[in-house]
Amino acid sequence: MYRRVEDNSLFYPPYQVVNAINEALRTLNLFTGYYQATATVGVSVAGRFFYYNPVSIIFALEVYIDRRMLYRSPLSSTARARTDFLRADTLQDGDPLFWIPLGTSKFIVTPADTLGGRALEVVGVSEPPLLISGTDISVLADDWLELVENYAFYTLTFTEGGKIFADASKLFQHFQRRMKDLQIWTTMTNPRYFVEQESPR
Amino acid sequence: MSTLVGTIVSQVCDVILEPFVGGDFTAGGGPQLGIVTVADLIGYYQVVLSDFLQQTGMRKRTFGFVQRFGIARYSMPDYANENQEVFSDETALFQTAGFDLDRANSEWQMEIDTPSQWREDRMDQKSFEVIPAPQLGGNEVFEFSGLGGYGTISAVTAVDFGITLDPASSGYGTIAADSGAVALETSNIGFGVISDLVESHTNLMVIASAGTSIPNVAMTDSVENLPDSFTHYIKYGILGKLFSTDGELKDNQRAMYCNARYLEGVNLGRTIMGEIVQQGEKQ
Repeated sequence: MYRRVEDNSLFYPPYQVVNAINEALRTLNLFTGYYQATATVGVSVAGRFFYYNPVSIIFALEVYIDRRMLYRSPLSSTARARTDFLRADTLQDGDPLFWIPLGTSKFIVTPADTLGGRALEVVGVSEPPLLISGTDISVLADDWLELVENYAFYTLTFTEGGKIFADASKLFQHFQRRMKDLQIWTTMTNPRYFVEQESPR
Repeated sequence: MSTLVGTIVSQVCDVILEPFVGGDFTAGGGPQLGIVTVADLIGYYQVVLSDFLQQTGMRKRTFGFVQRFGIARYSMPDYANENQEVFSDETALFQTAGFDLDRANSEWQMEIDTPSQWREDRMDQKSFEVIPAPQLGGNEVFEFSGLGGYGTISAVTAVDFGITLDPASSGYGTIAADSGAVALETSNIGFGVISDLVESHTNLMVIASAGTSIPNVAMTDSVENLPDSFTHYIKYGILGKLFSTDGELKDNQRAMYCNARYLEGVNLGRTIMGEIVQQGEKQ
């Protein structure tokens, strides 16, 4: 990466290079869901419906209770199908069956575990391991290396502005095209970005 | 959610070549040249973060209200955005509209019974109404002045799971955690036990998307309600405003880039909400 910025550590201090690489990892991860993990929430609490996602998880994909998968059910349709789902408990309604995402940070388990004490786990897209210094190592797929390097490059030249950035930012257009191929989302629309051309008088 | 506001502010300063002093974001630190001030940056930060949370609806919170006999209308706190579901005594209510209610029964506002519907149209902003008006008041913890109890649990509208201890007299400790078991840390002898706080039992609960609830943000505060992976989009939102405002920093090309990046973050947030959280349903 330092070679791309001509080893100019005065204008591009190492911490800024590391920040740019970390930003690249985070952005790529949001598009592709590359970093996924299983994280423990703890144990179910007697009578509780609401739980927090572990902080390492950006958003949950699956929830398990005692290693048994719960079915994901959106809040609105759950509330329409059974208005008293926040009263359901395992004593009367059987084992926990559904998890309901509440934004990205919380979820509901229903029926609530009457006794508690069961292991709750979340599988989800997690925060990528970030670099702290320039000598840290990040394990990446080969096709990511160029993407990360380009992303960090135009992020750094962003500081300079003018033609240097305008030229480098064309790599952002390339990044957007690559993300269309790699992303896990079917409805994501990338915003338009173009470089203004100076026309001769 | 451990990224500090100061981290975003200092990264903005890096881009606009404004030397930033005070890596620990303590008093006296901040931009040094005066192109922008800390107050400017914090102001932009709050505007951009609010807008981001409003547009994506990524954060949902529960807001509790003590249900009052015969009182149908309730006000939401300022930091609530869009109501998603309303519950009365832990039962979901169906959303309806005032227009439909008028056509179905012209005397619907006179009825008092168990609430079964809610609406928010044709009303003041940040308010909702349950229909019919409740026939029972909800549980509430009252203050018995001088009899051992100190203060009232007056509201269950607050950050996240929403439990606020709002004492009328001097407080004896704080509710230390809002997840897991509720803990009351006391510096003096405790008076009684908080044994059970089921905020929605017999009362009203609203699940709504939430904005920012901290009015005066400091550089040492964590970025509120946003996963770390999204925080760089707030940086681009701030820079987009700086580069597109008339002044020393005006730069159309970089403003376009920043606005595109900010919109990318908003679209990602919306997409996650749509495809993972709501599966295409209303956000």
